[in-house]
Amino acid sequence: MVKVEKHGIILSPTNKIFENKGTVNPGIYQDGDDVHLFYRAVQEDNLFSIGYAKANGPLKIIERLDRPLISYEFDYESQGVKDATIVKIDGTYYNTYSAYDGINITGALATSKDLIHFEKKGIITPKINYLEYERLVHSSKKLNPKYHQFYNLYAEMGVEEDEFRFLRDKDVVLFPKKINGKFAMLHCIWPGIQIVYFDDFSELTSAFWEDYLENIYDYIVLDPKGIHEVNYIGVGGPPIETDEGWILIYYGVQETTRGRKYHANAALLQIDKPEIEISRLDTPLFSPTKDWEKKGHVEDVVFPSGHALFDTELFIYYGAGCTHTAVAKLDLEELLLELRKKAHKI
Amino acid sequence: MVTIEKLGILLSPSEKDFENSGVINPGAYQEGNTVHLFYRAVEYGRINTIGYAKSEGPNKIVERWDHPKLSSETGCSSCGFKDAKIVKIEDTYYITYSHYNGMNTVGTYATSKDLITFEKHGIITPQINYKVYEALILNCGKKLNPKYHHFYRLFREIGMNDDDVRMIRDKDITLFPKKINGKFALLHSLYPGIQIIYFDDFADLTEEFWQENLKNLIEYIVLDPKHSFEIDHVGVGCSPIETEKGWLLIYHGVEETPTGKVYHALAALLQIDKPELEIARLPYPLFSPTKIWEKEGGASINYVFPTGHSVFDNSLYIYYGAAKRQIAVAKVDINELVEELLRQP
Repeated sequence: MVKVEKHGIILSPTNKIFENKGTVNPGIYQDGDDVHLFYRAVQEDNLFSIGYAKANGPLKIIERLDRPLISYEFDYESQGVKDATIVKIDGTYYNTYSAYDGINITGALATSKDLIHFEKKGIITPKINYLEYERLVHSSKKLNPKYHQFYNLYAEMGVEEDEFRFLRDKDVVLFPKKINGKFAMLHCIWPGIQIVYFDDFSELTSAFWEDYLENIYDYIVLDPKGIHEVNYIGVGGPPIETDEGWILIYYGVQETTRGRKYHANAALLQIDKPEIEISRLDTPLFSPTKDWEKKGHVEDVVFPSGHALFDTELFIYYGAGCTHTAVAKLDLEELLLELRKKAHKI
Repeated sequence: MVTIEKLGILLSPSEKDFENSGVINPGAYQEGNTVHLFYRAVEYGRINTIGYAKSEGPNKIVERWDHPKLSSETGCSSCGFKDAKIVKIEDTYYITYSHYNGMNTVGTYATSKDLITFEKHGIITPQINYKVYEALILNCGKKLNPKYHHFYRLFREIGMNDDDVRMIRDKDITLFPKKINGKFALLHSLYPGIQIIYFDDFADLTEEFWQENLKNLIEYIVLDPKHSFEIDHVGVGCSPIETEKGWLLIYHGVEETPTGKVYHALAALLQIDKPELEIARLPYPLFSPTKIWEKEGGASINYVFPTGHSVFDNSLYIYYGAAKRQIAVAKVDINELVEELLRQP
């Protein structure tokens, strides 16, 4: 077991309308001692935008914007923008986030040169309906049967052919550097986590995705495995580079008799080929235990979304109870050792 | 542990179009030595109908129709009847079943005096969308299992909770085989549990009736998920069986696993005069998908779905759908089962 220390809440809702219901799941960009937080700001009617705060060191908020940094503007994000993740590659900041239009949750991109002005680039996940998706993945024999579950549900409801109803694909997160010269991006088609490689975002066309989905099995990074992630899993923040591989902090959802419980989990992926899992912890890194993690707009949720590293101390920022942002701290070396020990047991 | 004996497959799909893909989930009505089976007949890529077979004794098929006994008359290609259950109360047979119209699964019923001709009646489950449903059950407060809100949240997220045409999902509607305190008693399954309603006449099941019922849903819950093998949801199986110690309910429970859902057959004992009160339930499945033809080969994997029963001497025979392709039978000693239930803390 890795020792995790919970530092408590660092960001809460305010009386500003745009963030009066929740301030959660911040994407984190660290620049030396500065930690930039791009959090999901939730208002009544479940509209969300991206709010901004800055910390000096891991925990001390010194600046907070009184209005959204990134708001919902276009049709594809008319009901909200959330769960932003920021990485910097070759001088450009890439913000991948989830866009919600009242029906679909898709992955979208915005770029920036200064973390103040963002240029939106549109949807980057597959814009296909479930009928088309099922046609493409149908023949993949080794695929976890749960990959068909949403198609079955949509078909039962008679909506699988709707042209405007897309495949659900979210938690889109770039690796913080290119791998073998290509962008490497994680995304989450239920119930697992997959990877996609490309030279340029403009490559992510329908034809690209058709070919990709026909071979989806080859791109699966992680699928649900333990009881603490039995329903489904999704990416937390960007992977963390170490000498032994990429550490991925991700969330796992566990079915209980009274609802779903979200845990924070950890896995180790091969450094040159991260679709290959070296190991994963077989119990959660941390779980909802505090009152404000167990209660909130959604109960029993810890949702890791980003990290900052100070010496060997890894600070994981997470949404708690879908209401507040909180921080947990652990020793990166200790986590890496634990993951390596798990690898040798395989 | 209760001893359960799996007697194997009783009915398989035939080459007749209407049942070439699956024959599953039969309601059973026993008259002496005869067992009437009303099963879901599935035609490949098309509608479901109710097929009929007759057994002498618990598992000897002596008659089987080559065409549906009950089918949907609306003519739409994706409609169908599923999961019929039959009871006889006073001199009338009541057949409750699900009707699927390509979008909604609703509960409806037919009556008969002879099991030969049937009179179809209207929808008896709540005809409301998830937005209305949510507003009603919020009245139950925090004690209501949070999972009762699951489908509302999902439908809202995909922009479908405010529809005029999309109704809440309510399945597995099953009557008790006799009136209780002078009223019809009916079990139904709103996710994730099993609930009960009482009424004098089917005509009472109006919008107002359901509004009142759903506002107070917590009082009508018979069973909610409890153990790991039923962690996702539970639903009604066979019509309840009267015993000296209470109503024996054979039901299904769905377990979540990393690679999909597993359906188990389960047992509980309910209070005889007030069946919404649970006396006990088995802390382990009565039986689970273990045979290859229960685990794969049909429309669902890892699937045993009990829907009908017969009793011969002390033996309870449970008819169930296996892998959503064929019908099989399992046998258990009814006294042993009841005693095992009574032994639970």
